[in-house]
Amino acid sequence: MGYRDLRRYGLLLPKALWGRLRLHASWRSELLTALSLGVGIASCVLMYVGGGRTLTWIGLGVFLVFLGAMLATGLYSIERRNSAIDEAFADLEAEGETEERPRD
Amino acid sequence: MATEANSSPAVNSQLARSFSLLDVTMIGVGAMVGAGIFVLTGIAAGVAGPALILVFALNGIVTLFTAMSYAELGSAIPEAGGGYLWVKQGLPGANSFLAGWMSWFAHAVAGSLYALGFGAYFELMLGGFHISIFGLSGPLLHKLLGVLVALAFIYINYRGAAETGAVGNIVTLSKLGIILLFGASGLWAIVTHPEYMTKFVPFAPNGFGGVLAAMGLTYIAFEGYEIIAQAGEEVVNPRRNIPRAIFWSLAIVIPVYLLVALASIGAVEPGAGVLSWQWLGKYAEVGLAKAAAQFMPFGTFLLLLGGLLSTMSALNATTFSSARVAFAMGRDRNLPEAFARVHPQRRTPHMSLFFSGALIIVMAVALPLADVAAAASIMFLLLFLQVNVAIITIRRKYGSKLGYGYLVPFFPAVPIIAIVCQLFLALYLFRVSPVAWYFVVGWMGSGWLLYHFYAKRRERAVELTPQVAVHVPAWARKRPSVLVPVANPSTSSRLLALAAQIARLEQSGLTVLHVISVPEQTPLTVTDELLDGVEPTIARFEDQTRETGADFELLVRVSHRPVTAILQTVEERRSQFVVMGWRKRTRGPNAVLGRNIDLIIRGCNANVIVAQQHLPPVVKRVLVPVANPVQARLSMAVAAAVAGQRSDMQIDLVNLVPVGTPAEVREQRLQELHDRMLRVRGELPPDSPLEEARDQLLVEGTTYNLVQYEAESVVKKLAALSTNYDAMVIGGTSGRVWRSHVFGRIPRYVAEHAKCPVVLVKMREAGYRFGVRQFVHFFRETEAEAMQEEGEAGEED
Repeated sequence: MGYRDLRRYGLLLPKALWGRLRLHASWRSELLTALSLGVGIASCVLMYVGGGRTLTWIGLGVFLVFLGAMLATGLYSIERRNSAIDEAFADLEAEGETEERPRD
Repeated sequence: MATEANSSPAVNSQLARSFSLLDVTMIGVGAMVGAGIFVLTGIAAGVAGPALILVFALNGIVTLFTAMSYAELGSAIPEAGGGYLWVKQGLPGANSFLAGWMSWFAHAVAGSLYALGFGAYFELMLGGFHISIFGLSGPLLHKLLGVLVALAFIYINYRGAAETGAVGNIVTLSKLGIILLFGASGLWAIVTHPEYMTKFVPFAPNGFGGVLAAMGLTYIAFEGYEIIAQAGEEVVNPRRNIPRAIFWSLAIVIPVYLLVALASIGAVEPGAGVLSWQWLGKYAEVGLAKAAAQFMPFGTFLLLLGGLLSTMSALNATTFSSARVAFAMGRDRNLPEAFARVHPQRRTPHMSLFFSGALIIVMAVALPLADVAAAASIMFLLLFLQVNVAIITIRRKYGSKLGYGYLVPFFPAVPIIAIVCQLFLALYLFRVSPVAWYFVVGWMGSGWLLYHFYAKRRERAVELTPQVAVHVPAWARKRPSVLVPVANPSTSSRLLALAAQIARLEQSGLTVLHVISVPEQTPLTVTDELLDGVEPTIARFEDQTRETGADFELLVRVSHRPVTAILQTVEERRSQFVVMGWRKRTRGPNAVLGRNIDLIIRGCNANVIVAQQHLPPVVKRVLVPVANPVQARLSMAVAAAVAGQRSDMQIDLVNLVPVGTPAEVREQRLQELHDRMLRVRGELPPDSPLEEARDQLLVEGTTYNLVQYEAESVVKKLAALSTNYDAMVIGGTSGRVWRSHVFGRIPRYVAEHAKCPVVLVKMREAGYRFGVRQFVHFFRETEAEAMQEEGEAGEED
């Protein structure tokens, strides 16, 4: 596998977009993920420290909050990233570039 | 002329995109909420105690790390094959083979687990009807029933009747419904009996070690999101929907698992003197069904139904997937062709199905259920570990050129954390089931052997560029040769003369290679039209080589990339030397001597000699800068070849020291150099005379002068000295093994500034060192280098 296969499968972005899209998750996404993971790990510590008593159940509740937060963060990041790609393609079309999009 | 190999154009078939977000989420949920949770809850409860809740929570977090990697890669490379394909893309050498090999084993062993789980549930059902089979019970009966159901599903898969579409969704919804009803009933029982909460104390009776062991055992119940990526080629708008489906499926499944753990520990009434987790552990794989009988309406019936449905559908899926992995490996020539055979009437991969079925049955019979679960978990952990390494290299190599629909945050920290967690869990499982690890190590070891002694050769045979042997004497296949790739007859005669001299010194023959480069769209086949076009050129090469008087063979290869053809010839002919021409100009910001030359130097482990094309036909005085005695020996031999072994040739070995170096240090250095250069040949005289800064060495019957100079700048001094010489031979500086260097900076700068033609000499490395360097280079390679390596950087030099 290599560039040739990626091209053959239609998975490469048009050349005009190479390097135009940032290759790191946004700081908002990273901040939200860090907070969520912090909450998730804290919830597990609470569950263990609680020893089957009140803190364990608080920990379980917090863990469910963590799951919700991770889902929301993940969906938010996916939406942001895809919007950025769509905008880049729109700009490309506006510039008159007619290269093919990656296969959908 | 005889054509040795041919390749046909690749067939590019794609599946229709028909899965919506809901469909693909259901696939993931269905793959996870199934046999794993039905079969393993009781076993894991017996290991971790009430901390089973924590086990599922922690496994959820560990899974999320890898799931993020799957979301990123699935959105960017949504092709059938998922993890196997990414490992193939992102890891070097045997890794892709091992990924397929492990994936085959993991799916087959998971099939063994589900077959045994089915046996346990079926025995429970038989017990309900007071039916006995030959008086058998327990593990022996489970194994018998497991083998029978495995045979049934092998036959069903052979017939080609797979669980698909609507049936699959109904089964998934049924399983989910039963599990949710189980959880809700258990929760209701706990809420209505507050005293049940005391069953969670002590929370972790076997300590954190029990939690870790149960995490390893139940990890297999979390791996189903992998199926979402495997179905990537059939998903509508994969860039958005694959990562969303992965997050949604985990957000559904993890709370369901927590609910099951809560209900199974909290709602059962184990009787006096027994704790609920011990009770569940006692019933192991049918613990969940036994618990359901206590607090769930129609509990036994529904759980039995759910368990049987789950284990059967999971067995069907794993029989199908393990056979497909084996089939794909057969098609990729990693396994014998028999694996890639399709039944002419049934259109099913019957041979790979047969071997996969045999593997499922052997593992089911050979190991107890807990060990089978551990073996499957270890394999999936190691497979995911590879994917987490692959995501790092793929982003590095293909980075901004892929349309990622999701990016892993804190890259590469998150994949690295996932790798550490998975490695730790996999290793920890040795404490739970050493025998599972023995099987895993045995499987991987046999895979490694199979790759090196079988698959590697076949893989290369596929990639081999077709060649035409114009002139092949008898010696050609028997001894290593000096390879000289030639492109232009107007500049090749001097290069051939140099190569012939080296061949004489080495007492070997000459392999002259001409590569016909064809566009990517052109299939790699040797046609008469193609050969007719180059016939006059080849005839001139043949004449020029005959003039050198060397034993030679002349080959013509057809390739999309000359570099590939040259490297293949080096390997085939076991060439110890490669002699190439250089136009003394580089192209592209990343090229050192030129893209193709750089790639050949990096890619082959041979002594590489790069001569500037304007090397004069008569060379008398040769300058050889020396620092490393071993490299100097090679440079001296090349210098003699450059001078054509003339009787009046003068070869000056120049050693440079910084200005102000004390005389005794200079003398000591010169003596060391002198001694070691002779020691290389085993010719050190007992009291070799040393004049102050000049010595005479007798090598190959030729006089070499060893001269030492002080210099502020090595490059400037050598450039100044070069005005007095006909040619300069300079060796590459030895680079650290983790640096992917071509020649080193100094030789390149000297070559650029010298006033006489320069011949660069790169010495071959020890095999292990070359292997390590190639491995390190693969991981350090940047996007630009990866493109250059694959000939995607535009114009060739």
